[in-house]
Amino acid sequence: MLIAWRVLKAVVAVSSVLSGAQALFPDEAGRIDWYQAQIGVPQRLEEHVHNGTVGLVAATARNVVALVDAESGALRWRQQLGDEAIGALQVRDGRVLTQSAAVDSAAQVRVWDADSGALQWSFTHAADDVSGGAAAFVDDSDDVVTVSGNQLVRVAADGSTAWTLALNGTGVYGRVVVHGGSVFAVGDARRTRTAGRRLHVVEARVATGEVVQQYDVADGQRLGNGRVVVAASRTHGGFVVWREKKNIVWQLHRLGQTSPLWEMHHAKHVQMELMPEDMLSSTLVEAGAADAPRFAMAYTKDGVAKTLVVELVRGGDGVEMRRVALVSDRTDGVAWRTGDETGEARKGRVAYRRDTYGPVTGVTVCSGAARVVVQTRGGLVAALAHGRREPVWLRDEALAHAQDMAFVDLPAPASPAEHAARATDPSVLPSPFARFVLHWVAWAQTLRAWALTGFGLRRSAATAPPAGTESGRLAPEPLAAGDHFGFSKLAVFGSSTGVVTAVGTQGGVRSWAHYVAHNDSPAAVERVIVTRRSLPVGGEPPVAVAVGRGARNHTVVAPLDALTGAPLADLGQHVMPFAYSRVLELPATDPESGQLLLGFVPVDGAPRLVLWPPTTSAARAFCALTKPFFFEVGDDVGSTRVRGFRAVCPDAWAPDTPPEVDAQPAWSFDLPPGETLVAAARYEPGGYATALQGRVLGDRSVRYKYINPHLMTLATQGPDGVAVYLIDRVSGRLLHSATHAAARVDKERPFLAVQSESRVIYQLWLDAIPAAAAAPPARGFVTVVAELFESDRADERTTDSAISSRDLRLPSVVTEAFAAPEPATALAVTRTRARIATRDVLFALSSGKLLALPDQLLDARRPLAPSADEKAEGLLPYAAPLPLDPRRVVSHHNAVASVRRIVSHPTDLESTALVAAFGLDVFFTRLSPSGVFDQLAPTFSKANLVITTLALAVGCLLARPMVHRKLTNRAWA
Amino acid sequence: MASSGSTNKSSRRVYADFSPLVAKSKASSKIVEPAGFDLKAALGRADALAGTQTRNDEADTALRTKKAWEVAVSPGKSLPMQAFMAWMSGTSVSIFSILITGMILMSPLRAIMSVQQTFAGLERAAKGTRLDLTMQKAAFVAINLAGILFGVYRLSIMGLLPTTSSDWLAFLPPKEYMEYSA
Repeated sequence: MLIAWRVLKAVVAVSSVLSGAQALFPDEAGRIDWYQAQIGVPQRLEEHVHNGTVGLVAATARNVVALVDAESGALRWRQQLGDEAIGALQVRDGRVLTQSAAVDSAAQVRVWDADSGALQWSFTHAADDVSGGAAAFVDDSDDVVTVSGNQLVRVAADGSTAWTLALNGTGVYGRVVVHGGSVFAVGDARRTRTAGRRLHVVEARVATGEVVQQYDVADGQRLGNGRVVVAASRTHGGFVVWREKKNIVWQLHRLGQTSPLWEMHHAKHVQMELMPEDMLSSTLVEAGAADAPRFAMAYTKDGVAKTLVVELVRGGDGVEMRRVALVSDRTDGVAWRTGDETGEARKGRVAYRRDTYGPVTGVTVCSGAARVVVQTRGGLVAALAHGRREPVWLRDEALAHAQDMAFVDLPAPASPAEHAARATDPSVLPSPFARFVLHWVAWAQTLRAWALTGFGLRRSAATAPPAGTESGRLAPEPLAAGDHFGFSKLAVFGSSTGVVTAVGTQGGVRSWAHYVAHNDSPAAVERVIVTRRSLPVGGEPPVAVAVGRGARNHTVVAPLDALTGAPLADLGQHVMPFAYSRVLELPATDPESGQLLLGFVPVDGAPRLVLWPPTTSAARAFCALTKPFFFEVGDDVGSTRVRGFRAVCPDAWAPDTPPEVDAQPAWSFDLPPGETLVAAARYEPGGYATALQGRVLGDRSVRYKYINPHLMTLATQGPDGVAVYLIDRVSGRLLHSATHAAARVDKERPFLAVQSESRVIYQLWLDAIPAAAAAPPARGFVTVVAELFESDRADERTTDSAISSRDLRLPSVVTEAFAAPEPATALAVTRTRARIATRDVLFALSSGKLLALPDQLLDARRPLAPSADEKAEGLLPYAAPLPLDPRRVVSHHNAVASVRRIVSHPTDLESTALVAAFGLDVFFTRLSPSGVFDQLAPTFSKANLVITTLALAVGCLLARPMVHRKLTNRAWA
Repeated sequence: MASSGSTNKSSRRVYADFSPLVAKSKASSKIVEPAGFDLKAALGRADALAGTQTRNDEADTALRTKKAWEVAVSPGKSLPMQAFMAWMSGTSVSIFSILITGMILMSPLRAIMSVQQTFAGLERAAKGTRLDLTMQKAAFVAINLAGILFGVYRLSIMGLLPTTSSDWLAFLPPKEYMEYSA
């Protein structure tokens, strides 16, 4: 008996382990969601070879140090340096040296293991002078020489300083070169009245730190101006190469050599190819380290942008330049060639459209010169190999700089027959009967094709994968159709590199990309707005408008076909000659183009609204609104006053000018003295919509929600802590305020807020949480939930169906605070189609987790000890800490780094919402906060259903004669 | 000559009516009476039978009335049992309590709908006359209405009656604001 009992317990224990956690949906991980680890646009690329494998160490504009496999493009490791901009990168003997500094902060020198990315040691400069900054390894030693401000320091691997040299403010040093027992600090000479702009070089002995000499060189130059570059190598030492502004010859200075100080050089290759006017517009850039000093020159000849990588070698009577690689960025592709003019050349050519990711700006030649890595201004990094017509790999790093994103609905999948009809006679498509016929025609065609391919046993030529799909394709493939449930959409990202990228939500495949440029420079895209969503059968395509800042901070508006990325033919890119402070989605539609109107509020001048599309019909549509339109300005960080304006249409529109609407001051909300704005939040479009206008209490009465689409949350930092104000954006009335005395907001402790229906959820840092009277004060992040009701009593509400903000009653606010499990970097709430399903509150945690908590947990009315009615209502007992439940980490094992925003979008099924989180990385998933009540379970077997039905039918047929016989016999009995 | 009359299927009783024989014999019967048949004797037997029938009809009426009252109050007897079942199933909304409540509601409703059929057999008296069972029917309906009221009360305590503001919350339209903002 005892043995049996033990066996039973063992069986129960084993079965409990085998059952697993159902909430993880292990079979769906990676199937419905996707994740892209990004590093950002590389600013420096250095090669690292270890055990025969070649890697590329990148220091990027997103302050990331990473190792990318040169063969596959896969990310081996990465280290994020927060807000520290990386000023120096050097790879040597399996170690990576970086120097980085945040704004007005001390420079940090770090040495990483190149294979694993582990930090080996670090050194922090004194914070008295933080200008400039560079570092370099000391030859045959683990030591590092680093410069920051006025200090040149040799640091040993244990963090101790061997010597420190005070530079006495002679320059702002941006490069350090160590060669031949000397260390050279090169920087911009401090400007004096007598001395012009030039470089200053300090040479010191690397062993002792004694100054050998210091001198100025390269008149009229400063580091980073595009006409001077410092190239160095371990064996050849360092050179300063520059071209004077109106000169077409090169000037070379070998560091340490002062007699002659520099020599003139005519690069034969360049001189043969370039005309002087082309030469004058050329720029010099660094091109990675190699055995010989390398640099690159970018120029344009006959409309072809070229990047020439050269290295400096010793010739018979001086230094010569030898071509390493030449990359030509033509209109239809990128051609490249490595090796000099005389040696064996390796070359290739890939198709590439410059309007997708911008011109090629950087070239890195890998060892052996059989492969080059090119990067474009828009943020595409691609490896090109000899003999390949497609890139070996590519990385779309524009996504790491995404500022905004929007979901675009895709049309339902069309049959091949429907496609044919669309191409030949689209007029038949609106007819349901025609579409019905086309549907069955398509089925017949599919069946025929299936039969022709031997019922799936023989592979037809048409289904063979096209050449080049095994590698990354430079030309993305447009996604023509979605699915029937609205799961498949396009996620359109706008990045500060000027690229608008559309990615399919099914699998994260790039669909299209478009480079928004203004005056040959990228327009930093800050907003992506879908201005036309509807896609009737055979109708106009949806439109995504990218809004960015172009040259001279002008406003660039680029309307794109959201399905292909092509600029709209009728409404081209539009540049407004002012910087905008806000872009408003107006509640009106242009009757001509069917697009949502946008309003731009210029930064300067009197507040006004500049309308887009810039047509009179659009302006008339806006002025035909039956309700007054209000907007506010001054909600920027650091502001002390928020002002509201009412749009007033003019009597007539001036011809040939963009239509503008005047703004009449409506209200002003002045912050209390000493307080400045640190954050502001509004509803996402449609975020105030709700399925139920109230909350049902346990006794079946109702507390009505205070739903105000004009609600706005302001957070201010003052001497007494952080204050939160809820104001009405039409009347400027203060609806609610709360003060958190021990709270603080700064860069590491941001204030985050999200408004959803009648709730405002925000996170802030508290220096002291008085947990109990006797307990020591704790500190940490708290999540505060404020829920707004129409009244503090049940069944009491404003009965008017149409109300004005000016007549609003103040809300009854219930607030509660919870201890946040981890600091979050972004907050959002899931959004479903009809808002019937419950909502999940999404936290992007600093550890990379994307946590989805049901809004039941973030209920301000959670009681300490629930009464019977409260239990009946479903209120959970209050518990201060929000659970960091692994089953609610929807990003599962992926660490989504530095999430800046989370965007949720409904699908056609009420249960399911799409969620995209982006910042450095991009993560996408589908969430069903109330469960998938309107979908079949993934385990549902349609085959079983069909087989069961058929078996029942067969059983009936077989049993029929038997039953008939039995009934006959019974009748005769 | 005796002939069998109509048969009441519900009571399965048979009665004989010999009166046609008298008319036929007096009018035009040329057929010789069978040997040993005495018409007077036969008629005297029929009269005796008719007297007995009258007495039986009165008793039958009383019996039917009594039976009808029994039928009328019979639903009341099941009410305690239904109340007990309702109490046992609780007031929470579950499949069992819903089934019980459905039974409590549907049984009297069905009984009210079929009140005529329930009393049809008792209403039909001898020689085509109908018994007046209005009071019994009214009592039957009233008791069943009480059952329905009990079911409705049960729906109410289960929270299934739309009697509170929360029941109409889903139909409440959102407020329309008289201004736009962005």
